[in-house]
Amino acid sequence: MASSSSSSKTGLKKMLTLKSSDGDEFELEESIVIQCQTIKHMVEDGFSLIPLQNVDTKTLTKIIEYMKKHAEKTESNKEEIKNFNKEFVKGSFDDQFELVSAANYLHINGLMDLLCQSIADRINNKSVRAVREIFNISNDYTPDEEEKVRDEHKWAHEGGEFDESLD
Amino acid sequence: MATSTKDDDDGHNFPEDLAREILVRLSVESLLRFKCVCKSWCTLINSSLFIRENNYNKNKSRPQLLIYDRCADIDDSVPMSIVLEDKRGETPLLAKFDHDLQGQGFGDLSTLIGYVDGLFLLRKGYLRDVSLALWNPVTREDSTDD
Repeated sequence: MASSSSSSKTGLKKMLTLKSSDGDEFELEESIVIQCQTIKHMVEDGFSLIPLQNVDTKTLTKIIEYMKKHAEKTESNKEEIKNFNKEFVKGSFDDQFELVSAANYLHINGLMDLLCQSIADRINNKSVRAVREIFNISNDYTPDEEEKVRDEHKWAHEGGEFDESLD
Repeated sequence: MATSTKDDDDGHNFPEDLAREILVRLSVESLLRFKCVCKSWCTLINSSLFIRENNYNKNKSRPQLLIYDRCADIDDSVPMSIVLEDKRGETPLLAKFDHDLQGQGFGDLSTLIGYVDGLFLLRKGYLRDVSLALWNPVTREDSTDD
């Protein structure tokens, strides 16, 4: 935070440019962007134009929205942030996976935590079949192997109805 | 990102480091169920480091278990029950796990000797006719040592 405190003394805000994989550029205050560890390290190394080859415009727009909101965080707006977070995690699984992947790449710990917990909550009661579909995972067990694994903890498969929906 | 691996057919399509971050936040019951999703998830969920992280997450966010050691000489009483609270601590759930112990003959006349890290040591019988069981109510596994 050394650089941002010196710039606030002079009243000038240091700006940075983020460039998405689609080539779109976003200009933001450094104080907002340094929530992201990956970018923070690049800023410390003297970069002011930051190309993000793994993050497309759609995902970057959402991430910037998150960082802007969370940069406003104070003691008094906790409820507002909580509501923002609740809305933020409402997208489709595919959108959430794109965001998780970007948050992981950018090392935004708070966002990573928010997204992973929300996905975990959404799949907690899903069936095995639904989870495979959602994560696009193919079943590599033979029927016999799968039955053996199932039998190890049979009760975990018998706790009532599991959610087969994919959203 | 996700689209580039869409046609990958070897069961490792979803990046494992991301899957891990998500799975480590699931309940034990779901994890045991999701071992059936694919082999790599099963290996991940069984790994001791993963179990430790999952346990750490639980301790951070979830109120833990309360056990009632009910007086076992009252007929048809439940010798052991457990109160679980969901992760927001809003809904206490009463779970009776006594049937798991019945199978081992530990349903009646068992005494709770002690516990550590969610494992319970139970004793059945008197004097020379004593057997012990180690019981993990979360995975519902027990091992008996006569």
